[in-house]
Amino acid sequence: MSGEFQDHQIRDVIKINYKYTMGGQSKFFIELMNSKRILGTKCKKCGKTWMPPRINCSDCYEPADWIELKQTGTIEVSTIVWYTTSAFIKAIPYGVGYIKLDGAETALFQGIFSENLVPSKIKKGKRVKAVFNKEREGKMTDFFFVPEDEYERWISKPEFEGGT
Amino acid sequence: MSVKNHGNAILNPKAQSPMELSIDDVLFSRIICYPFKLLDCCLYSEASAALILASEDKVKELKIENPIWITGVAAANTDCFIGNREDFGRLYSNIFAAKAAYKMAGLDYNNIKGQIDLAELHDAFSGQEVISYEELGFVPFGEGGPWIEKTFEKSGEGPWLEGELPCCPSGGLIGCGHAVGATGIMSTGEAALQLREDAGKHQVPITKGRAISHSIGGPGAAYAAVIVMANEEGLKKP
Repeated sequence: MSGEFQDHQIRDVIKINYKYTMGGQSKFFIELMNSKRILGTKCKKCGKTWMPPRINCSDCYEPADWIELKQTGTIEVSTIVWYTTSAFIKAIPYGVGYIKLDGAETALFQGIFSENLVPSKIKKGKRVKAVFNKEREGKMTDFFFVPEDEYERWISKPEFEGGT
Repeated sequence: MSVKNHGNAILNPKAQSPMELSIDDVLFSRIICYPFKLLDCCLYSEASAALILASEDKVKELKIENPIWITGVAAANTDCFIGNREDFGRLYSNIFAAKAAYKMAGLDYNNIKGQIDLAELHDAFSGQEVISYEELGFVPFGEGGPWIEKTFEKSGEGPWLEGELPCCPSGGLIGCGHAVGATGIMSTGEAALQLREDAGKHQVPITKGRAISHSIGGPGAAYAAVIVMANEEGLKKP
C-alpha cells in the first residue's frame, strides 16, 4: 500500500452518569433540602462561626459543631452578572455576592435576586433574606437571597417559599 | 486603564489586543460583570514566554553581556476562600509580597515610585491594575483611580508610557492577552527587556536601572508575587 495516510473519523457523544458526595458537609445540604434550614458550624475550641460550614475550624483545626443560623444577613460585596457559563446563561442578568448571615463570622457566596436589579439595590451593607425553591435537590441553587423589602413578594410566587 | 494598556500594545508587535480607544469606547463596550465592561477584561489567550535564569557565577563564566539581575523576589497568600476575608476590596497578598521583595532588594515601600523606572503589573481586569498601584506602594490607598484618571492626556505624569512611573508599557495582560501560566514570565521578561533598553517602540527611559514585575493568581486572586530586577547600573545606585 502506498499513498498518503487518511484517518477515518466518526463524530460521537460520550455520556457519563456519576455521583459525587458532599462528604462532611452533607448535613448542610440534607437540612437545606428537607427542612429549609441553613446550618453553619461553630468551632469547639475558639468558637468561630463558619458559613459555609467547615467540619473542622480553618483557623485552629479543631472539630466544629453544627449550629442553625438565621436566614437574614448583610451583603459584603456584590456584582451583577451579564455573561456566564451555559448552566446559568438563561438567568442573566442576576446578582451574586458574599453575604454574612447574622451570627456568622465568614461570608457565603450566593445568588442575590431583585425585582429591580440595579447595583445600588444589592450594594454592600444592604440587608437580605433567604428564599427557597419549592422543589429542592440538596444543591446550592436550592436557595437565593432577596432584599428584605422584597421578601414577601418573592415567597408569594408559586415556585418559591420562605424558610424557617 | 483600558485606554492606556490597549494603546501601549499598539507599540508592541507581540501584543494580541492592540487598540486605539477612547474612554467612551470602553464605557460603552458590552457589560460582562458589573462594573466591568468587555474592554476592561483581558483576552484569555494562548501564547508562550520564556526566561533564561542563571547564577551569578555562570553569568560571569559565560561573559553574558548586559545581564538583568533579580534583586528581590517574594510571594504571599491571602485567604483562598474569599468569604473568610475581612476586607473584600483589598488583596493583602500584594502588600506583603511587595514589601518583602522591596526589602530584599534594599528598596523602600514608601518611596518605591521614585526608585524604579517601570512596573509590569497583573492587569487581567482594569480594576486589578488600579488597586495594585495602591498595594504596591506607588500611591496611597484610595488614590490609584485618581492617579490615572487625573493624568489622562497629560504627558509626564501618572502611569502612562511617558509618565512618572510607566505601568505595563508592554500593554500588560489587557493589551498583550492573558496566556494563563505564561503571563508572569512575559511580564518579567518585558521588564528585563526594558532594563536592557531592548524593548523596541514601547521602550521607556531607564535612569534608575530598576523595574518590578507583578503577578497574581489563585481563587479570588489570593496569591501574589513581586520580582524586583536591576541592570548593572541599577545595582550600583542607592
